[in-house]
Amino acid sequence: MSEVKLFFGPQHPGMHGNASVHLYVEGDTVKKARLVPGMLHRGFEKSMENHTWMGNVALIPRVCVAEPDINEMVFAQGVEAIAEIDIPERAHYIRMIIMEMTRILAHMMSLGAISSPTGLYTVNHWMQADRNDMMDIFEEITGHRVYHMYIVPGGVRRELPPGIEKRILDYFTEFERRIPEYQALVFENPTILARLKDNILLPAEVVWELGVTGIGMRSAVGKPYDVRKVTPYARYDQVEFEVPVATYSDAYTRSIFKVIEIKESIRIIRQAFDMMPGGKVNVKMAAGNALKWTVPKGQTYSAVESARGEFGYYIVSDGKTQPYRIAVRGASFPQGFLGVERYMPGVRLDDAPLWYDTMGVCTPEIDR
Amino acid sequence: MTNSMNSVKARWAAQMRGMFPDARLKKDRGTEMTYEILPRDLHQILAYLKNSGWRQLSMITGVDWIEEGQFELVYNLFDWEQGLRVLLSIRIGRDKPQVLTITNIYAGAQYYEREIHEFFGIEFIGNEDALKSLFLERWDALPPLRKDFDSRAYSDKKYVKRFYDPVYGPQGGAPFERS
Repeated sequence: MSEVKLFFGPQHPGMHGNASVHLYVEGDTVKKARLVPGMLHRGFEKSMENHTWMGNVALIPRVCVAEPDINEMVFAQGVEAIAEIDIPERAHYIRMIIMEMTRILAHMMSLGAISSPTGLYTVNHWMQADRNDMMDIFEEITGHRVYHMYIVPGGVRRELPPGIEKRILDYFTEFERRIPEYQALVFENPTILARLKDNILLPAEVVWELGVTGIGMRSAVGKPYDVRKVTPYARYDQVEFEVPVATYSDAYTRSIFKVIEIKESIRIIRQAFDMMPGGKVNVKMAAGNALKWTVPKGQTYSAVESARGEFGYYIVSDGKTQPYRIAVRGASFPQGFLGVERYMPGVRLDDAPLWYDTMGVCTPEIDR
Repeated sequence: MTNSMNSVKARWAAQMRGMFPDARLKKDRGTEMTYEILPRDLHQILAYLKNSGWRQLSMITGVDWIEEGQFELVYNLFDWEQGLRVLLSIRIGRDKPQVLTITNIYAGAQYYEREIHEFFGIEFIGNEDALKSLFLERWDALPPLRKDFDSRAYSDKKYVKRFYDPVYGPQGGAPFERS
């Protein structure tokens, strides 16, 4: 049988972002696969060097489209570590609420993305409708729907609007009522189960070989390797939450983990509202005009747990008004490149989009 | 940071000092330690660290210190069990920069090295794959993350400057026709 070259993306309903996976198939088995990025390259790392520290706040959320707030958080954390700024206690709790809400947004997006490879578009429509309501809440808090620019070095940009607590908690009460419906729709659905169960395995050796983190790692290694647990940031050491783990990682495990993580995130948000103290929500990063703010010399790596794993910035400051260098560690870089090259071969052609989705590859953070 | 973690760290740091006297602890931020090491020690230290729990290579990244005529490469390792991060930083000369690949120790380094080759022009000996282009198709200038690459000048040279002089209203014709 002869080999045929096919393009999965950039224009493909199963592809996330504008990248392309070049597939060489024989029959319907993938024989060779390569991720070909470049169509989404916006030159973020160079551009960050040309913006002021505060100017960057408007730029960085755009690195990852589905989950923008992780960028603001790692940037703010890194700058605070270099400049040794202590932020108000209340800001930590507000940041946690924002981070967990954005994690839920990202998980909804990737659960919804199961729809196109499996043909069940209902799940995507439901998820997008729920995301939309959540984005309305974000709009009330931050003034923006997609890129919030809310977490800034020194705290958060402004106080939560009055009455937002009730709105968020009501939303989640309603959403929790709907979770069984989602589970019935996706995880008790024989057509989806046939595609997910015992398919697209990720053994623990592969996790270590590639450097996969996040849900992929925890579902294979069986240990709670979550940055929130291992090196807690914000106030994650003050709240109680479980991290789901398993030792058998198939597409089903990795998908259902997202639902469990959504439930745990809601738990964190409720606790954060209960424990949140009053007071200020930000301190000034430096004195004087914001365009002339400087950060002392130093370098650090700041990481958070994103929906796809460890996401971090390596930040270097030379004491001037602009960063000297910022390097982005996209959480899905390892599985996106080496994973596709080494472990996508062998799957069926129709499972290639499912591989890409359940491994949690997010193109914009790889090709930034 | 717990006390047991502190003692683990202290014991480990002492071991590291004994084995690699040239490695200099540059910064200790609690759970993150930055070491400045010599390029010739890199593989030994990486192999030692990988066997002592730092099983994950989080990333490799480069920094261009143009005034000192050096590139800095930072190898970022994480130990999920202890929650300790080690950043190993090496410095190499800026003209004809070369360093040995680490793909034989951390397989995941392959694409990080390829990315650095593309953006800084650093050659990784032993990783032929890294010589191919990755993000920038048919790139015809300096590697873009070098400090002497000026993105504005490149853009002005490469692309035609276009001026827009739109005329709105009845004279220029309405942009949208309404029936």
